[in-house]
Amino acid sequence: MGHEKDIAVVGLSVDLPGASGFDELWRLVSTGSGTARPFPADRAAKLAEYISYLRATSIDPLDEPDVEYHNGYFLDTVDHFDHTAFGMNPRQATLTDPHHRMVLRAMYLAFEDAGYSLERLRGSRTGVFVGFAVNPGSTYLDYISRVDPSVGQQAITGNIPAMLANRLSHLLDLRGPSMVVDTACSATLVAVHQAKNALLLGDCDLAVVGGARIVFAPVKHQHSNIGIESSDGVTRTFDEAADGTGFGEGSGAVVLKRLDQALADGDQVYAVLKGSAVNHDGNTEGITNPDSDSQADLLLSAWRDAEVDPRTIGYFEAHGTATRVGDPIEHEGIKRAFARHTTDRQFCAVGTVKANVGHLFEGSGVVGLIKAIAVLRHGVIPPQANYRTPNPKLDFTSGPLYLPTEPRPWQPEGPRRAGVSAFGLGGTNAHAVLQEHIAVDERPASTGPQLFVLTAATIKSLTWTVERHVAFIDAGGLDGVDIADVCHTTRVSRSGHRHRIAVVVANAADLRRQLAGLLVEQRDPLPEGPLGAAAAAFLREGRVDLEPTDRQPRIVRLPGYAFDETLAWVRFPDTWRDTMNLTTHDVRHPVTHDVELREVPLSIVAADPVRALAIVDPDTDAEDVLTAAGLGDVRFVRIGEPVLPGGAPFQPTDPAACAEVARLVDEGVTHVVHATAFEDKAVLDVSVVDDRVTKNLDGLFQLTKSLMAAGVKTRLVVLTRTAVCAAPGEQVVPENAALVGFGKVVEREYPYIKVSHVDLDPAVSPAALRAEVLSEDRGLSVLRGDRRLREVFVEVPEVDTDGPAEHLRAGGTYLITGGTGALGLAVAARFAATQPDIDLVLVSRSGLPPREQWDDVSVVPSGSPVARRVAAVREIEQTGARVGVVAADAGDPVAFGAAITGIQREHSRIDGVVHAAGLPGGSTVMFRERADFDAVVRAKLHAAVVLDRLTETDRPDFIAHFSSVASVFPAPGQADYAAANYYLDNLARSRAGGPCHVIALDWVAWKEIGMAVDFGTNGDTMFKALPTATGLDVLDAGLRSGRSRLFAGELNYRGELIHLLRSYDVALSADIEAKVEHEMLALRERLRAAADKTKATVAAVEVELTGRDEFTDVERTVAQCLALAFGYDELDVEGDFFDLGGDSIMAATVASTIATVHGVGYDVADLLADRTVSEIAYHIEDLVTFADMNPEAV
Amino acid sequence: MRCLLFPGQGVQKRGMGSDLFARYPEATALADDVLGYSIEELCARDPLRRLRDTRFAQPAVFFVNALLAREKPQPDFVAGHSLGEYNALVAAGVLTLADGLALVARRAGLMAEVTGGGMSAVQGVPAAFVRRALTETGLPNVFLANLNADTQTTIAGDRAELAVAGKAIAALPGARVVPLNVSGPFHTPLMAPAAARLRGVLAEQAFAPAAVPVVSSVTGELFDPADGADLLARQLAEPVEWVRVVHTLRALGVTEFDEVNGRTVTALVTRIH
Repeated sequence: MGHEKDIAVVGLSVDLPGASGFDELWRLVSTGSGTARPFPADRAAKLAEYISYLRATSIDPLDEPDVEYHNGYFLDTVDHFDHTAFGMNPRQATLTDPHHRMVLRAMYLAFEDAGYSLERLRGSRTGVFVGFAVNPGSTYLDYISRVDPSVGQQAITGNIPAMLANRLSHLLDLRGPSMVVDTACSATLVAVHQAKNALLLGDCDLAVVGGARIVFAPVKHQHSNIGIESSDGVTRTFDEAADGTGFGEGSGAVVLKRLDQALADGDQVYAVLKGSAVNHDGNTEGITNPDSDSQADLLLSAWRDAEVDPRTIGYFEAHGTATRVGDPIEHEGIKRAFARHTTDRQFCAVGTVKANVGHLFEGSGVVGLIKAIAVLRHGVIPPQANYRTPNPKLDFTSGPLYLPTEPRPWQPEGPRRAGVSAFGLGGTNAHAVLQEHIAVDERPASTGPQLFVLTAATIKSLTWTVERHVAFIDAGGLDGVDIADVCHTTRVSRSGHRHRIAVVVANAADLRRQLAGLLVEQRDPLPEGPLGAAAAAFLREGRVDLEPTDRQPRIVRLPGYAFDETLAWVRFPDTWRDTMNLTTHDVRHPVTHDVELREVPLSIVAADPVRALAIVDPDTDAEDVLTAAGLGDVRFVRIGEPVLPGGAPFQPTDPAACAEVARLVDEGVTHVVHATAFEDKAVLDVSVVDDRVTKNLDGLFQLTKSLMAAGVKTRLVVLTRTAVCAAPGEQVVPENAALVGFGKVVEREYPYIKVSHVDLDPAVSPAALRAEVLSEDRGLSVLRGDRRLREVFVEVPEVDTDGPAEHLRAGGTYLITGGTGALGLAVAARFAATQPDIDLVLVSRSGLPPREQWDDVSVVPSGSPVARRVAAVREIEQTGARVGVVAADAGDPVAFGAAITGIQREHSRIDGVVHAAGLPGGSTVMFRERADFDAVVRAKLHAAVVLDRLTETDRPDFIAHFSSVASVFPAPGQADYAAANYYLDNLARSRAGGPCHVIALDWVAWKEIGMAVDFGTNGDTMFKALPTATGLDVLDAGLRSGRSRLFAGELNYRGELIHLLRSYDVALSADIEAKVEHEMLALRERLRAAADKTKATVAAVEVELTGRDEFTDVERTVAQCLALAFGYDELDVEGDFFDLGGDSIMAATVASTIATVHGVGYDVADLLADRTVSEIAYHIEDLVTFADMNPEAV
Repeated sequence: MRCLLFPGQGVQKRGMGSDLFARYPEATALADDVLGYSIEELCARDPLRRLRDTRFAQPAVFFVNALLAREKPQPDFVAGHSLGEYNALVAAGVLTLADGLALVARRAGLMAEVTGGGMSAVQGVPAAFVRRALTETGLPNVFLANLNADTQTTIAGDRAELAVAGKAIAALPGARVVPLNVSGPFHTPLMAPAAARLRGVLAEQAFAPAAVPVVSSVTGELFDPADGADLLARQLAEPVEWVRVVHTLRALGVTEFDEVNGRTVTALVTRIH
């Protein structure tokens, strides 16, 4: 009778308000009852605080104290779950969306009903198809995240929709397709169609389809209505009084298999899915408008697929949402479809389960399907609930349908057939055609005793499940059922849990007697022989080994598992009003800063004798100056002379020579004075500058590297003569100032070398120099005569506009180095936008391909960095600005010089320069190769010298040097970068007052573009990362001012790194210092409050320790910390963190809680090593004891 | 040229060498005989969870290393990290497998007797920085124990002092300190009593000339079998100079490093410049 496309429904489960189970659903349906009611008071009470909170915290707070709820078809409880049965810990269960929990439960019961234990499913090719949609408004994740924002990460796997299907597949090791279908209200029926196709295609051998829905907070308010709600929560489909749909809650699932396979497997077949179809309305008047033509097409397709004559369909389970628009359209579609096949009238009963149990939205399809199965099995057409007066818009008399008002037997000539429809709000429609299955049983009755088993995850569940079986037998559930099939069913589908019973029974009455006996702990002894032995083995090991019999057993319907549910819900605190702080901190801090040299008192001479080693250049008078200062025991190392008698002449960049010096230093030298950079005159010849940089900066680099490699501890004093510009416009030797930037990094990489930098002029007295060299201060001191200046970081709240009003001339030529980099292009675009009539010359190492090749994708592949640069240039040209690109390496003075000369020849004058070229620093001094170090320096320093040299006679209006935060607040690994940028800052300052406005801009990381983005360092640190527009505004303001420097970056006062600001060698201005102090206090206060809160929360946890008789106090507090994380009210002192359900993500939180509560340092690594309450406590006690003994070490 | 390297304690894991024992029944029987228990059961199944115990971990690693070495082509040089050095000596023909195993079992027993100590790995900073930091803490009983790579060392010593030293070193920019699951302060002067007793055992041991050159993890120079007893005794109480070993091997012309039983020590080689 069947054909190869037939799909059998072999198991199902359903849980709806007033109908927990298939039989109870039929009772509701067959009596035409509905279960609509007000929202349960205890559920409303639990939501009250949350609703008030939502209303109070809305941007436009809603001041309505009363909360009104819709009526509807509500479950009594949605906040309980049996975590043990699903291998979760209580905490995981609590953080899991109730929908996920309901789907798990529904599918578990459906599998059990189909005759599948967890063991039998494991590793099988079983598909999981869930119909579900996240509903607008409140989700559970939203709710729990508001209670505790920190749970988000932990809760994610329990709250994202994909996990609805994936969790079950994971838990049961199911290898078939696993997916969530979202087509709104048709979702579960579409999922049935998908599952059918997957079975027919061979994607899986078995499939479970289901869905679940709760209405989290059915608040009645005009803001939240979607327009289909029934005014009183009752669904009155096809009735004159129908005014909308009533919300329904619940879950349902079916298990599907190919019919031929199901029969071969001895499965029970609830019904046969003959065919199905899915289509979409296409372009209708509105996306939510249903369409009768599409619905008619849908039915015709489904009937074709099922290969049945529509005239034989006797029952139609309509979508029937009871809306004024929807019902007539659905009726019209049905009429049109049937009219293609028959003119007969009123032969097919119509109804919808929505009138009995409400509308479950995505879950409604499978519930309709289950109801139709019940109708087929019982052979009774049920009356339509809530139907009194026909809707006058529906003319049933002229169509195929009729509305039954009382139950009537259904006795067609052929097999009973039914159709089920579900339509999605967005236009996806589904229809399924079902047929009853008439089981043929020609097997002989079984003979002899049988082995019956039941298992459960908890004792309570086991007891309840046994009770259910007793009641089931009492209600006649086993009448006419062969006891061998009953026992077989329990053995294959009820055997997977750790608490077990096994009885050997002769018949149903014997089974009842023995089960009832077990409930009062009177167990029959197991009989002798193989059955008794098998029973005993099962009780011991949980495995049934029985010889197969000749009579093929079948699966029969039995009561389902009784879950042992406990509360699994995050409570909304009623204290939210006290803990919520609605005032926001919106203090603005300036973006612009500067470093000033401020006069401070002279140093006081240290009393301790020193042993110094000074490296000097005999071509300068450094040795004389130092000798005059009378430092004490000074050993001079002179360039060009052997370090030790008979050695090679000392060269500052020679690693061996520097290692030699480091060895000397390690023998008790307290002060290393690096005094080679003692030239007194600036030069503009780049080769001379290069020699100086090599001797002085590279020499200092090599010396430092050697000192680090030797692991020495010493003080390093870098001495320079008028290298640092003490006052704007001072004539200095700027290249030697690079050593200051270098020195600022050394201590950040290696704290055992304390670095100070002394820059002096010839008027400084020997005593003042002596005092400065021997001073304990770190950082830069500039000595001028008897004045002592130190660096202070200050705010620049307003940038003066004392410069040119228009810094870009019409017809001018502007050179940008690093011009095809992101910053260079952004500057070019800003310039062009400000003054379109300009020539922009972008110089960069890589340049761009020749313009005529820009459209050639083999040269400029689309999406490539080159393509982005080409596009940026073209966009700039849209403004009218003329853009030229020149390839030249700014770090190569010859090539760069040639490029500049070429530009000058072409454009006669360069009117402005933005020197944005730069390479980032790469590694710490210890591991930096000199060539790499030099490359970073040259791109900035050498290029700046070339620029000055070649524009000496015709100065541009401005030169803007792009410097960096690294010249003031460098990070480890930035020695070269800091040196080069410090040079630029200093160069700009020394050029102040000249014909050309030279300005250095110290950028913090740019947020959206540039080097920091390329290297992933564009987050907020001590400073907030700089938005591109803000950065360009600062450049603009700087060029319109007369300033020679701006530090661009807003301090991130509320960041956790702000305390680091004080660790640098630059003083902070009083206002900045005060803000840092304030924020650090506030931060400490926040941390303390958070720690107090953690302690209080942990102290409130009630948990019982097991596994021993006595426990230490620390074991108890550790147990509280773990119980807080996992939710157990009982913990074994030797229970393993991972067995409790812990993972590495949770470990960080748990370890931090343990550390906070016990006031010791305890981290993830510790926790992952200790793992049990007992070991953790043992470790903590150790740490506490150690901290008591060594208070300073903590 | 090619060098075969042998890792030491720390690479043991349950199931190691499972497929080897059946291929080398004679060697396996010999090991059972020397040790007095089934080496296969210890390595492959470890039902008593003994691989966490130094006394069992060392013979287990040594023996599996030795079998794995038989599956490798003849190398031009050999070297081993700590315990692995015994494998290098067996591979070079300086010690027989039986003698090596007996020595290792004895060594493991002596090392396990030293308790109350620990080791921590320090990553991200050069050994010179670690040494300076240790000096600055003024703790008398914490030492550099392994110089494994340019910025990878281990420190070892008294357990309480080690925690303080770890904290001081972790304050260095870029440094990461990870406690290791080791029972004793291996490769530090605190091992001197064990080293003295091992020296007595080694004095009885014959060392054959090396058929393949071995580089010593104590000196970082070629291992002279004439000094075998002294070098192996010192090895217990002196740092593992792995960086030097690799520099020496490279200077001797080694360009290819191979390893038995994992990638632990070759991974270090890639971090030595």
